[in-house]
Amino acid sequence: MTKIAIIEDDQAISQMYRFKFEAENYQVETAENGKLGLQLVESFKPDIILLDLMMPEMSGDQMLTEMRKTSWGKNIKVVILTNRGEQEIPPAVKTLGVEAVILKADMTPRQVAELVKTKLGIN
Amino acid sequence: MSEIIELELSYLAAAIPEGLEKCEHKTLSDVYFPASAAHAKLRIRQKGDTFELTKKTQADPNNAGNQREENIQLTLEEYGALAAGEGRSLTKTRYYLPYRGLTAEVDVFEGALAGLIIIEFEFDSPEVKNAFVMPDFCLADVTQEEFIAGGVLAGKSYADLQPQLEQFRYRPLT
Repeated sequence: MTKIAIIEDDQAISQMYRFKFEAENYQVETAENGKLGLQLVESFKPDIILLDLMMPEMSGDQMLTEMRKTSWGKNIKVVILTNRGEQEIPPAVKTLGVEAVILKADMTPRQVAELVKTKLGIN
Repeated sequence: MSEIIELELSYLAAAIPEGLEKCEHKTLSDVYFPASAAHAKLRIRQKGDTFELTKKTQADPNNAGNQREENIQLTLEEYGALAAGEGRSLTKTRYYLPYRGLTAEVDVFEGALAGLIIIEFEFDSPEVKNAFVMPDFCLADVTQEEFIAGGVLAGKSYADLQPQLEQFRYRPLT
């Protein structure tokens, strides 16, 4: 079963993607900040991560920076979730090997699920 | 379930009202169903930690300013399950701006609709509504324009609306 981790502090968005990806037969785990996200990813070893940027405790870009330094996290596929405009994305994010940056307000869960499938090569 | 009749007027903003950034505000995330409807009437909304399902219909077929709203509160789980379905979404920040004894709801749209600001007033009676004079920070009364309804705007971009907005000489506001 394909595994996806959703790291997002907005519980409504997190729940929405959980329902969507569980309906598509993914194994889904969630965490609500980057600190918990790092612990989750290390143990869960997802195939792909949906990662919010603005979160308490540890932001998504900080989590990504830390994760890329590890042996277990350096190659995991990451899709960034954000409500910021492209120009407001921290520059570091673009240099850390992300698959895509998604403006949350502009994509339906189905579109996000299709994008994830494409990035995983399972379309 | 609660049901209310709203008497409202909607305007395109002429400018960002002075002092808006200091006003109480909330982020509203809406998903409209079905995605295939040109003007969807069924909506789920996240407002902070609260979630609701709303069916909005025109109370007076000749006046889009009289809307009937039927609301049901949802749990986070219920909201998440519905939001995962096939809807069209929009996100906006709603500012509550005091104006001459009323409250202007100033909706600043985000994402693909960034640049669009719509200002709504709700009234207790038709008399108060009929006597209302458009404030200076408003550009045009669009109450009867279908294109500004949430169920039409959801899933669209500012560029999609540009032809209609230009008819009112509206320019994007940020």
